[in-house]
Amino acid sequence: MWRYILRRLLSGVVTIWFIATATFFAMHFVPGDPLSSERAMSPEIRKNLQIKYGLDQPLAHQYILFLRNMLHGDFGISFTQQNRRVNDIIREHFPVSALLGIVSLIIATVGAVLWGAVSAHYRRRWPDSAIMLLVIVAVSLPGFVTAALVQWLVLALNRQWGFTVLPVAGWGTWKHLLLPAWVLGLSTMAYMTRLMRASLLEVAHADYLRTARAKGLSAHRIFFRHQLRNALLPVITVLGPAIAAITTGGFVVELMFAIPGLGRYFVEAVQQLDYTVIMGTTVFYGAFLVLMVLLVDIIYGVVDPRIRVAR
Amino acid sequence: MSESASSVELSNQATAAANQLLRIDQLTVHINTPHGVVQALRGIDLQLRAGEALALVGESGSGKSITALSISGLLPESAAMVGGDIFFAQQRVNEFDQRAWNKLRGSRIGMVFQNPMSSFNPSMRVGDQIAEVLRAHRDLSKTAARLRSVQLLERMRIADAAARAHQYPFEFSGGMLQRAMIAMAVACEPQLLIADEPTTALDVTVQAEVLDLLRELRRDSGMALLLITHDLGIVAQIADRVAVMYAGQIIEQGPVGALLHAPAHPYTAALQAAAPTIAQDFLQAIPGTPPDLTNPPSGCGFYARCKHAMRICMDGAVPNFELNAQHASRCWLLHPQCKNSEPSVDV
Repeated sequence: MWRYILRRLLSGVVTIWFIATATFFAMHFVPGDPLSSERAMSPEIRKNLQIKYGLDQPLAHQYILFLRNMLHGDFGISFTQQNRRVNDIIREHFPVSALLGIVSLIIATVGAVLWGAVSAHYRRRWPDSAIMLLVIVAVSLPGFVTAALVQWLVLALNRQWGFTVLPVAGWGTWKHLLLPAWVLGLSTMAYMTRLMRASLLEVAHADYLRTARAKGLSAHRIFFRHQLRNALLPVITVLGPAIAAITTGGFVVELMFAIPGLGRYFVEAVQQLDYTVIMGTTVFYGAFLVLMVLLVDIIYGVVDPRIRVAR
Repeated sequence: MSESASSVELSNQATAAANQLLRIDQLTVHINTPHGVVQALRGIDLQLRAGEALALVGESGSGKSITALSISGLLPESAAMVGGDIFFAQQRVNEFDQRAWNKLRGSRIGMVFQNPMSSFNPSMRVGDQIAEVLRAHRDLSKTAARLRSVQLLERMRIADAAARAHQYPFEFSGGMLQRAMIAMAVACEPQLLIADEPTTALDVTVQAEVLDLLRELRRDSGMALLLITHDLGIVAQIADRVAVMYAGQIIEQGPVGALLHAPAHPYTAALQAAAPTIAQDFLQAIPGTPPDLTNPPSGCGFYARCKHAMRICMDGAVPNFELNAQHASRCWLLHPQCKNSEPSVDV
């Protein structure tokens, strides 16, 4: 088990190195640099700034310098935000994104198990058809459209009732969390619902469910202990991609709901070609996802004993 | 004098009724398929006394498993009992609800299925799966149920039972898992054990172990056994009586010795001839295929494949001819007016 984790971590390091390198060069091939802005700048000042930030050095030299600093866990200072270290930006804003992501993942997973179970139970009857239709709608709508629609609806509701049922933007209380978390998790919930339904129906025909019925167990126990538990396995498999979807989806949702999360800084950094922030957040998100996928695989082993021992 | 004689007779009848564990009258089951309604069972009559071992024999699709599933109320959603009655221990089970079934299944009726590898929940420890049935029907604590499940595994001659109980199904071999399955089925000491092809998925040496175990359990506990198989070798080893099924009907029923040595129905004889032996260089198959049960023939189902077929065989249902009190068969050859009444000789 420990050897397995170690091996996965080592291959994760290679993955992160690859992400970092690809991003570094892609970023430098984009026309312009962090110093180009609307503000007119005399060539002398520009030259001095380039020297100050090391942008006058050959690209290969900059790359090696970046790798060396990264190994020390130092991503440098932001180009656009005065005197803020990238490490501090991550430290201050990632917890906001993480909280949003976790709540959204919980909403998505719990919702998917619930709706999937309802759908499978009413197979080919109207509740099933209704849920499957909503699933298609939810999967098809991009996050920013859902966000705008939900904001518009809730605003109308707030105005109608004359008080703030739920705030449609901002950050601070648990009420601020609900709408963005739901919007962020919606498409994940939708495709996991579909998967859950299919998985429950497949397990329903398994021989061991007939055995469970032949043992005279209660319907409750047959469903939870025998059907649901085994049907959860494929759903756990997609938790990795789901975390990735929620993490990247967070960039847009944080912008739409004015949430001071890391995703918003990432988007702004890309727009302004803030080299250090781009590299820092990219490497950080890369490492985060590698760890999450590893975590999901470990959870998978806990739920499915066959995988645990096979390792 | 005559009064006492009739009272003796009455009490004999009473004990006969009390001894009767299972009675199936004219059971008719239809299955809905995309290709039409399959008449899977077409009026089955079957009786089983307490402690008796009955083998249900026939080829795939003859209705053996559907019979077993009807007895335990486990028919698939697409299947429906459209006629007949099933009595288990004098209780009519036709209108049982889930609660009533759950009291019966696992407790008074135990079931063993064909494929042990897929019949266990893959994500639950084997010991827990046995303990689960004990907890459902017996007032046992978790620890007591776990202890009992280890004892049951030991009883099934599984070495190192305590450690095995902690393992998952995929860590077991097929034969070992089938013995664990039997442990689970007999955990609550049922009056009836239904074993649906219990050895078909196992290799021959393991088959013998499982059969030994079933015989031993029956001798010790006195439970009745309904064994479903297509292997006449197994039938000879373990059964008291045999019922042969063909195209959704029981076409011959009798004591195992009489039925195997002097089969009355040409199908039984052909089935026996088709069983491979060491001396044979080739397999002797029964020519033709069973009839389509979406549109079963009105006469004998075996008519098209039978060497002894007569014109009357096509005309309506074949009556059940009794050779004696125990042995009966649905074949016109047994009619007193039929000269050629020795079908078993020249198959």
